[in-house]
Amino acid sequence: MLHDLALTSPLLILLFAALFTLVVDPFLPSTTEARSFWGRFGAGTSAMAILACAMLWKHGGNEMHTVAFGYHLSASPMSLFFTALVAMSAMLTHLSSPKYLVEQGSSYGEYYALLHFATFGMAVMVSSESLLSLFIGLEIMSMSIYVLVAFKRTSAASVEAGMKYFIMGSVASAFLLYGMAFLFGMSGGTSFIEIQRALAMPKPGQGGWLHLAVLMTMAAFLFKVAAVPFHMWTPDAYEGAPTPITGFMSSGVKVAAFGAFLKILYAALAGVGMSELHLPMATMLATFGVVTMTVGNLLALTQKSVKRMLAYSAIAHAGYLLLGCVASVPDGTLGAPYAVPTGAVPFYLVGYAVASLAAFAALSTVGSGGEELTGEAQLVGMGRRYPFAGAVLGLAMISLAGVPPTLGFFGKLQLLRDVLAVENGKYLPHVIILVLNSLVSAYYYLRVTVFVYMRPEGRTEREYVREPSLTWAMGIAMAALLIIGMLPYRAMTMAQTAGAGVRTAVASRHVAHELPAKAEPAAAAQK
Amino acid sequence: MPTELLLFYALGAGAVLSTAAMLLPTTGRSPIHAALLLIVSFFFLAGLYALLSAHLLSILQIIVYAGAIMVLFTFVIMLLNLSPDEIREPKISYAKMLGGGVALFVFGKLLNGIGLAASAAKAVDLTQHDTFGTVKEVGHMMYSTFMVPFELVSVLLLVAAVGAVVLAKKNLAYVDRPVPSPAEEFKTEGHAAGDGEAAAGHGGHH
Repeated sequence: MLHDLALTSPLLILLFAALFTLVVDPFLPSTTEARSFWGRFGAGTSAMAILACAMLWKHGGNEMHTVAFGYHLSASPMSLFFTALVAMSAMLTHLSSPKYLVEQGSSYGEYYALLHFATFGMAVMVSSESLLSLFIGLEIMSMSIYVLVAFKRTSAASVEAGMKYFIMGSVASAFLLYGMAFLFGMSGGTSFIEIQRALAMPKPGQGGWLHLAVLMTMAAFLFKVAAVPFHMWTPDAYEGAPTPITGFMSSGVKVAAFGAFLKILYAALAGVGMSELHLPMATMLATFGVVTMTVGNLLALTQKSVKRMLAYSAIAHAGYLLLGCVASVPDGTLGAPYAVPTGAVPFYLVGYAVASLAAFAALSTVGSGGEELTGEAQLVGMGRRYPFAGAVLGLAMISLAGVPPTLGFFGKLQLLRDVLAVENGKYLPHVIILVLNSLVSAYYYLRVTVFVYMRPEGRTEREYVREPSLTWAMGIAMAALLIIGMLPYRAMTMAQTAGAGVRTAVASRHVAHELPAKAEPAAAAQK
Repeated sequence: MPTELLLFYALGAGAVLSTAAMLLPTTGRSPIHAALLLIVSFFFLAGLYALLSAHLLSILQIIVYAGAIMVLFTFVIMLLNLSPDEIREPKISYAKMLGGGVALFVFGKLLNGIGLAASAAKAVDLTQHDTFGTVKEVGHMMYSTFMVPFELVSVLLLVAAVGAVVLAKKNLAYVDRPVPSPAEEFKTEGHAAGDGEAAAGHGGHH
């Protein structure tokens, strides 16, 4: 029990931070100072969660792949890596929020509690070892994010965005639940181990149902990561949401969704079962990825608002990442038919999350008095009036475009390399399209820097929001982009370990030794 | 056994008939009649569950579905307050035909599955052999095997409650309009009373 509590300590820290905020906030005066205290408190507790992940990673040793609380949660390298990443997103979001919310006139303490709850839900998603905990984690995250998107209650755009996201997201959840119900029906269990075991020995007549289940589950995840053709909600939700929350959606939500997707793909579905059932899972993913990145980039080209442009760029990046999901290597312990993802997706997510958090933190400095000024033309002069924010925005754009000294470049490089390595360049055409897409994307990313630095300023002088914790947020993001960008080796190896740890050691043992253990009674019942 | 079989057919027929009655032209035009018929159908289903010795499910069916959810349904119908001429004749569209086709397909598949299962099934006295579905058994599972998801659901409910309050409550304490101290409140004759109440009752009831 104590052991299990230690393994889930990052989750517990996040949960208790949420409850503490919720309970204590009514007793604090509702002043600006009290709110910025919650911002710092949130950043501190998120940092503690990251620290807990690091401790478990470092001192875990043999316990690294352990499941906690009876196959519902795990502390595998993958879950720790992704938990640390969502906690990092939460930390920067907490730091960049307080002043922005005051300016927008909706600074309530519940914001920080919901942010913690969302992070907790994400951590549960990426630590889940069963469909049940994965789904509930996803719902905790989604519910919190729906409310956070609509948090500017006086702004029609914000409420509309929240409502749209809520309705579309509920449909996606329904799809996911339906798919999971079929998976449960076929395997007789909700944990990934049981599903993998059942799929390893498919019974006749299961194929069609499995296809249905997998397609529905996949549709739900494509929705959550904003991939074409389920991307319609993205621009409105991203534009209407409070700017720090937009940053959180494009970093934390994406990280959590891809983490959970990798778990479902590799820990629950992948393996002998999938190849025997002839579902071209990898080809489908790669195709969706290529379509998504192309549509996202082409639509991003015409956007005038930087916030909306970043929403379309989030779609494009979801495309790159979907293509990255096919990059796999044989499992180290189980051997060839079983695969684990490479470090491509985890490492790419680090670069993408940090860069978009930096961009949205910088965008939080413009706009005041309930107004957001995130149009391109409104950023003119930012480089001169607020050089630091201008530099952070510019650097984030360069990283998102994937230009060498930054983290974004190495993320893309590793992704390309790993995808090319799959079956001797089977995905070469896809990779070529990805490179062409990157070229297209450089145009609209670099256009932002042109507006920030190179356009003559008009007569109106714009005021920027300056605040210590916001400066910290931008500073941390910028430092991460540059430092990890220049010394990427350590992070790359960690991402590789994370990918290889998608299956817990217990699961591997079960799959390896107990394959024929459970199937007979179920098969008899079928006949 | 015959009593049980008789009960099964009676309850099943009740459930099917009350659902089918919703499609009749006279009741189908009135949403409130349809909702009331749905309650009747839920009660019959609860009886079927009880027959399967799934006691907890049977009770929950009545409390949650026939109770809470149906109250919600009827409230929504009453709030919408549709007059009979506002309810249009149902039109057949491609989307509906497609949806109907898929529904029929799934229904066929399920019938097929039930047929398969029925041919393999043997008569078992559930009360003798299986405690699955009793309150004790479900409670035991909920606090052992499924403890973590159970606790997680409580967090989910908390989030939903907090979110609903945040979005729907009329007055939340604004930062740019600080809550006055009681003395100031007295002076300004309670125009800020709503705010004070909101600050005190954060996360409370609407």
